[in-house]
Amino acid sequence: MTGPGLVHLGLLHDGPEDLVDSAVGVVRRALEAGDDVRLVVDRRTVRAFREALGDDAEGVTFPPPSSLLPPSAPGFLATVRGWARPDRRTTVLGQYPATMSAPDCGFGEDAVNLVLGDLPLTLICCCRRDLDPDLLAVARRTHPLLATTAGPADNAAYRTPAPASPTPAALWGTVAARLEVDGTGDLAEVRRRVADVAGRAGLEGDAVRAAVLAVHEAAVLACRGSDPEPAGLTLEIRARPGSTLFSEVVGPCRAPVPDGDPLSHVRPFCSCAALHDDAGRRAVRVLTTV
Amino acid sequence: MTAPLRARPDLDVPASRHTLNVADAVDQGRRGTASWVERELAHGSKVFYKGWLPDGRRPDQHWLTGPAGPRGARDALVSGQMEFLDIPTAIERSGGTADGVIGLYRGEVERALDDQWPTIAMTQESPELPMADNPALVSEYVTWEAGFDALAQRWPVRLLCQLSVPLESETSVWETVAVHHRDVVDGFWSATADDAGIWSPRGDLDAHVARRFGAAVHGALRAARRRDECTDLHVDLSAIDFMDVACAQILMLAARSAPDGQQMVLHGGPRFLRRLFDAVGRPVSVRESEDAR
Repeated sequence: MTGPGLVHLGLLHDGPEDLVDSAVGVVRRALEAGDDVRLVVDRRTVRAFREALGDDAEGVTFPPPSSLLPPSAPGFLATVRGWARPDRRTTVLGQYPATMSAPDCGFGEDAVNLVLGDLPLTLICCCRRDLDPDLLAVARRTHPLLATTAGPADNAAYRTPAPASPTPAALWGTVAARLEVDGTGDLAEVRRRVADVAGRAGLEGDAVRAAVLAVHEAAVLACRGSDPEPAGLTLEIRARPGSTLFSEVVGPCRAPVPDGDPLSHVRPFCSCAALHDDAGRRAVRVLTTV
Repeated sequence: MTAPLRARPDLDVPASRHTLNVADAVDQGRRGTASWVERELAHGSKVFYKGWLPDGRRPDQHWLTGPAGPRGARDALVSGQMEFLDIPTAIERSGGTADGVIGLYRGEVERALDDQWPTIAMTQESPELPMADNPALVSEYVTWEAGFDALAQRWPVRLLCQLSVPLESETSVWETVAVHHRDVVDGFWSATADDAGIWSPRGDLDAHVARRFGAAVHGALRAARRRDECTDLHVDLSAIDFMDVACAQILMLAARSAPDGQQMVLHGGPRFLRRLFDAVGRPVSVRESEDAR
């Protein structure tokens, strides 16, 4: 699985052998492409993978399941981001723990789709079909592709996260600042508030400047097409001190985005940036890590 | 990082100068003008005010010098410390030409000096000139603004040109800011040029003012090209508190579009700005200063 950006696969299975049957093709292609391949699975599934891959298993690492935070954990996104390498793609396969909270898992998986879309990662999230039905529903809803024995397939049950959906406080921290943005005339106040929260989150020097610039640009993008009418945007800034600064600008979608990547000028100044249009609403999200 | 500082448009400098005050809203511009006039009156200057009088009103019914205006301005109109001329009359007397406008202002200055006023303050409201369809008018305008510079250099004259953005066409806003790039105050940002020709924007430069900032950059480049010696534009970045991608692109694109041989030389400013310039694409016509300003 090559190419830029995140490939986020769900894998629904009935046990270790069924899991391996559906995943082995993706794993082999990743190895052939030179990916860093990590299979974070229980012992029985490790044995099944070794058997299916034969000598190719030598190119795979099998970290213990305890090394992988589940999607419901607050540090999940930082962990995922840490897998990305500048020189080659990374493929990671993990299993849903049976005890995981379905709503928290949904937040984590949605967040991956929203803000990690530009990372060179292939994530394969495995969910047993006999787990909590709510958890199974999350797995079906949050993966654009499904890993099957015939290879990756489009997932008709995938639902793009709505921009108006509540941002998971457990992941991004509490709202440190919220303000209305009615146009570019409000940008100075946007910058002042972001700088204030960023400093309290633990960012310093150029890191604050970068965070301020990234959120400012997100607001500029969200304002597009509103002038002279009020843009009607809301900016929320969330912080997890020592960990992340997350900003989300939400409001009416008034103009099409420019051709190409509309956030290419933002990405050099933040960890992740994502734009999401849905049902006439637009959300621009920016994540900065401390 | 400290919180972004705001540009502090200091219009109360007792030296001669020719400043443009840009306002996004009419009321905002009026507040700035009233404050400037009050300070000049308190400073003992003779004030010449040129403004619009709608519907045949008299100067004592104007927003500044009428009942709703500050008391100092009303009193000065009565005492003669301030003179009011409505803009249509000023145009009629000057003939609307550069020579006529400069002659009108020079006459006022000479009369004030004859009357022993130590300093002269002159301001005019946004002129609403139809520049969009009239390149000849733009040329005349550029010439008379240069004449104002000469007035301020020769005599103790302070000029405040008012630009009310909602009242002017895009062309007028562009040309007005470009001409005044040496001394412009526009909300959170401002710019000045020193005698050595170093142009210094300061404050917050963002998408809201990007077009006006672009006009000032082009004005500065245009003025540099008129110099006999080196035509490079030296830009001092040390007082910039914030610059966004739009303004960084404008600065770099202006340098890229400069004629062969003209370079933009950057002085001072934070390292982060260089990172921003690199991100938007820095052309070869932009170079760093070799001094340690």
